Amino acid sequence: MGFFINEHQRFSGNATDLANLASQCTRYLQLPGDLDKINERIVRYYVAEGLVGRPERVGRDAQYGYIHLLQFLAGRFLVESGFPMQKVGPYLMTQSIHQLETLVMNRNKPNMAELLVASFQREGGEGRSRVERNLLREVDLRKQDFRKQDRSDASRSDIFSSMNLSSSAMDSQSMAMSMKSAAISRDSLDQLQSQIHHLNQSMQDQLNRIRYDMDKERARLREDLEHERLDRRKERQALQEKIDQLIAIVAKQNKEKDNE
Amino acid sequence: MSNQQNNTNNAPGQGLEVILDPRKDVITKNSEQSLDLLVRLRAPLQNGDAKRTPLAISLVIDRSGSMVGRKIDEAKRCAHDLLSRLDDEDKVSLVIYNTAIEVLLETMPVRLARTLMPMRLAEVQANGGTALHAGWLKGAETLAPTAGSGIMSRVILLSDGQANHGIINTQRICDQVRELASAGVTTSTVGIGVDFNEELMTAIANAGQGNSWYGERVEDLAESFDAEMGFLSSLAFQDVRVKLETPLLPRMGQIKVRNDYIQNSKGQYCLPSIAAGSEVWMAISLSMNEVIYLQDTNSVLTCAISLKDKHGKEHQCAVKLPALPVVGLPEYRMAEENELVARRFNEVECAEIQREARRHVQNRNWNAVEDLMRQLDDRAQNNPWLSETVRYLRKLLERRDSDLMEKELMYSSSKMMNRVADLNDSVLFCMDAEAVKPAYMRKKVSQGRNTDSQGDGQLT
Repeated sequence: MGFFINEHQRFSGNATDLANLASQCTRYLQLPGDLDKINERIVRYYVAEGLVGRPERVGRDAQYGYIHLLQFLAGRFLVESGFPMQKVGPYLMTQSIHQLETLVMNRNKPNMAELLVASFQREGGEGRSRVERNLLREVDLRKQDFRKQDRSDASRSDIFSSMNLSSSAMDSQSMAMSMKSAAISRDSLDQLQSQIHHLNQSMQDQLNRIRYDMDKERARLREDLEHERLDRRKERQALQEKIDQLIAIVAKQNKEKDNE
Repeated sequence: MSNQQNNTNNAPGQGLEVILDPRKDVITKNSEQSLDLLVRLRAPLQNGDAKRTPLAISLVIDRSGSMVGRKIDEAKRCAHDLLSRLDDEDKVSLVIYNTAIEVLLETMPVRLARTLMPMRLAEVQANGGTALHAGWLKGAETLAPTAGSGIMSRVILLSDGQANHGIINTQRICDQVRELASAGVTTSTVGIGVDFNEELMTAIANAGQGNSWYGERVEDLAESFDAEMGFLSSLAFQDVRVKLETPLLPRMGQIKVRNDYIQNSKGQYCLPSIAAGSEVWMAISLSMNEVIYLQDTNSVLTCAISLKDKHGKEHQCAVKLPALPVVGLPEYRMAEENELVARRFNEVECAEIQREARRHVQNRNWNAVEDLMRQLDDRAQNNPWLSETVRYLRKLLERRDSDLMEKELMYSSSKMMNRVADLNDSVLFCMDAEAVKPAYMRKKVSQGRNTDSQGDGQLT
């Protein structure tokens, strides 16, 4: 366990980095499942399904950390072990880093009852629906944005106060007003931009999910098509053989007639 | 029974006897009657020194404002009593709830709990609302790690009021209870007084594969706990699942299970656990015409049974319905009925009438209730237990005691539909004889009253 913690507990990276590292860890820890299936798309899918917590935002980039890595590995391990995805997500969200490490390293699988209890607690603890919880999460994110804006306002006014030391009080006030209004408009733009960014991200998540489902569906259809093609080919061969036999019989009959 | 040898299965090495009996040994065309079958799973009496299934029990006690006074004191006393009936190696946890949930004892061996529980319970005061779902869930959480490890994990939920905080929707609560029961944490309920939600409490117990009990007065509470503990202490088989393998279509009404047993995701019926010296049973009705049409080609019904013994070892067995001779209608009518099958089906049908009567009591439609009571009277003629029960219900009807009547009708119908039966279950009924049976097996006239208050003067 020590190696694992020392090596990766300061991990920080995007979805591709997380997928690469998760792939390495899965191989090292000999966790079950197909390694080829670990990619950034499945990382985003796990985020959308609630198995991995939402990543932090640095500008436009999503930044995943050690907890996300643990959640991904634990989630994948449990899903591969046959637990339903809808129940695994809520369970993982109740687990601390230490508990997740134990789960991944020692493969300490919970039983179904523990998984269900965690899921019911998430479902009923707050007495809110999934949609309500998403909305509340959105509101929390907005609040954080506003707090950031407040802080930036405060820093701007500090700069302003240091700049207008030499000017008269009136001038400074009017200048402050104009700068502040400019700052507010800039802030509102920032706010809009962050909203668009959030929206973009959630749409991206949904698209990833749909793409994942469609890929699966496409693979299934392709397989069906292949089977059908094979069947048709066999039928055609069988028909061809019958036709050949018929032609042979007719030829034989003609020959006999000719002989007669 | 002439064909009992064909449809009886003694599962080797476990002592379980499985019997499938039809109402009559013959069938007929166009009788417009169903073919009624009774599947009985009978566990023999255990020797005195046999070790029982280890238990993990979470006692979840309501401490809302309505429990104040004698009710909370009696609940505490019952908790102590429950502890004294458990073995040292059993596990127990204690949760109390009003609008807030408090775990007084995490899951621990009983020998430790014996020291801690009196201290923790002494300071409990009743006040606040009733977050019934959250209380239950916390109790289940304390037991979740023990589930599926060969231990019988059971939440015993006590409440005297309506759930009014957190999740209160019956369907939503029951869905969760059902899922957890399938995962190994079962639930029994104990209602006290006349103000609790009997529909919710019986539905939870049914979904939780447990028992539902109720005590009308404070002094009746002890017998509910006695019954539950008696049942758990003498468990012989648990996780009893019955899969009906048949070409008949349930959606078309060709086969119908008449009890309340729930079905799991695999389509198996989840029957109650079987206590030693008792039987659980399943009443099944088949379409007679379809059976005649199908029985020539192959077996119409096979009951595949799987269950775990007290050591957690899984056993499987099956019982088949043999091909029954087809006779003419007059001969069918003259054929002798299996008394036990006819009696159990009569009780199930009475339970259905009682449920309908309860709906009319809720709407205070007393004329309809009177009509249904007359139907019950007719059906109860040859069954002393039923006729005593109907007499008691009539007294409640005369008093227009709707609260008590709703509860009695609900619990009585539930008992008649799913009761744990004595191995020597007979039509004879005498309360003195019932009193010596274990509490969980007693046939009571008034479900909410203790055995001493079952006589004629019970309402005075």
